[in-house]
Amino acid sequence: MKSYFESERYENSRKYFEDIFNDELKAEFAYLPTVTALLEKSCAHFSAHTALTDTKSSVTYKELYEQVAHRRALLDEAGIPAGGHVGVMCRNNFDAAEWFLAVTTSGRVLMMMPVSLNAQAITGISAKFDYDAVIADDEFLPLTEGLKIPVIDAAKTSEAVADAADINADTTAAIFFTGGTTGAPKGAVLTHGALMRGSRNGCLYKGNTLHKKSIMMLPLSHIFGSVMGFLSGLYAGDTLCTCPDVKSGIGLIPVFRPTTLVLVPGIVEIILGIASMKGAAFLGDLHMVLCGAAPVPPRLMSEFKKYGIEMLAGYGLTEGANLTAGNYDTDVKPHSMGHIYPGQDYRVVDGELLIKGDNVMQGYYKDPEKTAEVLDSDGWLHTGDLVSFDDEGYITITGRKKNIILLPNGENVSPEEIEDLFYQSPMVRDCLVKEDLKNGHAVLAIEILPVAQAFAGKTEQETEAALTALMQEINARLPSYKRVAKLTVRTEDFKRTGAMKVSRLQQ
Amino acid sequence: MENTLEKLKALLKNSMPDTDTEQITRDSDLLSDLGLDSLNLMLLAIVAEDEFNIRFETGFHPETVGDLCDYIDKAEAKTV
Repeated sequence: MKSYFESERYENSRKYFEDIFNDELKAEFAYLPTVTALLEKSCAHFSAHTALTDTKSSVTYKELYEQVAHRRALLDEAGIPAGGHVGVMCRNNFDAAEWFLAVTTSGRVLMMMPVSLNAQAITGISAKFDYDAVIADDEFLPLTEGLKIPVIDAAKTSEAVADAADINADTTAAIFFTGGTTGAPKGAVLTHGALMRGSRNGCLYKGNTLHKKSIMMLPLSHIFGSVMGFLSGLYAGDTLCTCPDVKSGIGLIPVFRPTTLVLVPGIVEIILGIASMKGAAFLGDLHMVLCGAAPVPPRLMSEFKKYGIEMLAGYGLTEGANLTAGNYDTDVKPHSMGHIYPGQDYRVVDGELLIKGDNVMQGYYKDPEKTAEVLDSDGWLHTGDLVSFDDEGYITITGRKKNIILLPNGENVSPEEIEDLFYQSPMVRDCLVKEDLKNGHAVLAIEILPVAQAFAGKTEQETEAALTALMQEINARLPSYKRVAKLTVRTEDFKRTGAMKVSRLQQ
Repeated sequence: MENTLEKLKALLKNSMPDTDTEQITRDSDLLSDLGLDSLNLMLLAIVAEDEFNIRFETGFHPETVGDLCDYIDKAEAKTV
């Protein structure tokens, strides 16, 4: 039997993406096996072109290549072992970009840390993921004071230079945090080959050219920000404008005048909201938006179209190095997530999409149990997403098998993680967190079935007030995107599964 | 000031037309009453910065509409 990669279906998928380019671009976007190969190519092809800017200063591709070599030397001088794990806690700035490239090309393992972490979380994560060092912006250095490993000021570099390590596609490049189903974050271990497959896929869309201008709006700790927002940009010799946070990034749109932006739907909503108030001039030279990391409502595409801006939607997950499917002709099927990118085999089992290929993670770091839940012994990644394919191979996401709630800002929220906090209260018998609408906005809502004895003799209002106070107390401990906005007190029991658990599907 | 509250309501209505602004008071909780998540708040902050000619500090985390009004009134007083 022919393998999938020799099949007509694969050939169609490959052609779908690759026939959109002329020979020059095909060569430019050829698959490269390591971040080192990408950095070398970018330096050789785009040497004098600006790679990074913050609108005040800039770095060319050649300078970036050289800076990265100096940073690598500092990693050696700090005594961080080959293959060591390095956490990087920086806002999206030149330092972050250079450390990203220095750590990975030195053969060490990168973990970009979300800047929302507090000192306690940093200590916990450093231990769980066996960090050998942390590199942090001066803003975050005070949070690292309790660590017993080397901490490097991100602004530092070395006079010396160090060569890139001898690595290949199978060398581990990075560990990316992904929403845990039981609370603690998991770390998806990705090889150089996986990151590079993802970032090369990120180049495959209609209208992609060299030397675009973009703003690195999404944090590098998010796989979409790292792969499509950063590495795919280096692939194409783009000029990437750094920004410390999303709000500043949005403010840069009329100033830096990007041609392309990589965004999540929640940020698209904001940009469209501002454009509707300030007019099209706010959007400057923007003509392409690449959107993903959460369900993309087709209406966002038509909104952008009014300004002459095309928006392409894609689908992916951290465990598959971001880009699994993409749409290069959104106009044709706006509800679809496009075609499965080349380089992956796929199948649908009981409605769930399974993928296999060099983009798939090695596993969750030191978590064989969770790994086994999603990655089977034949190498198939069970995405947890329910899909359908039409006759032309366009994929549509129809639902989720897993209980993860994907918010419009691209954040994954595990309902169980929040429910666990409520279950610690003696007032809560059972509860269920789900997505709901509040005042027209998607929010997290909770339904609580109270412990009857705890409220004996109390009125409904008193019960609700006590549970609202509990919700506020729990919210205060959560990052803003995980806070529950809506509370319903149940007087009737939940519908339950055969095992008497609260049924998520039938309430 | 009353004026700030009314201006904020208008900004909310213009930038997020789905929001019901009729019932908004100073005591309205941004998350649990208005359903504004961090991204909605960011949009409100961006348009409010423009409208009132102020800048919100990175560490400012308002809980209620009143918190926002007070911050804006204080920041406006400084710039005058």
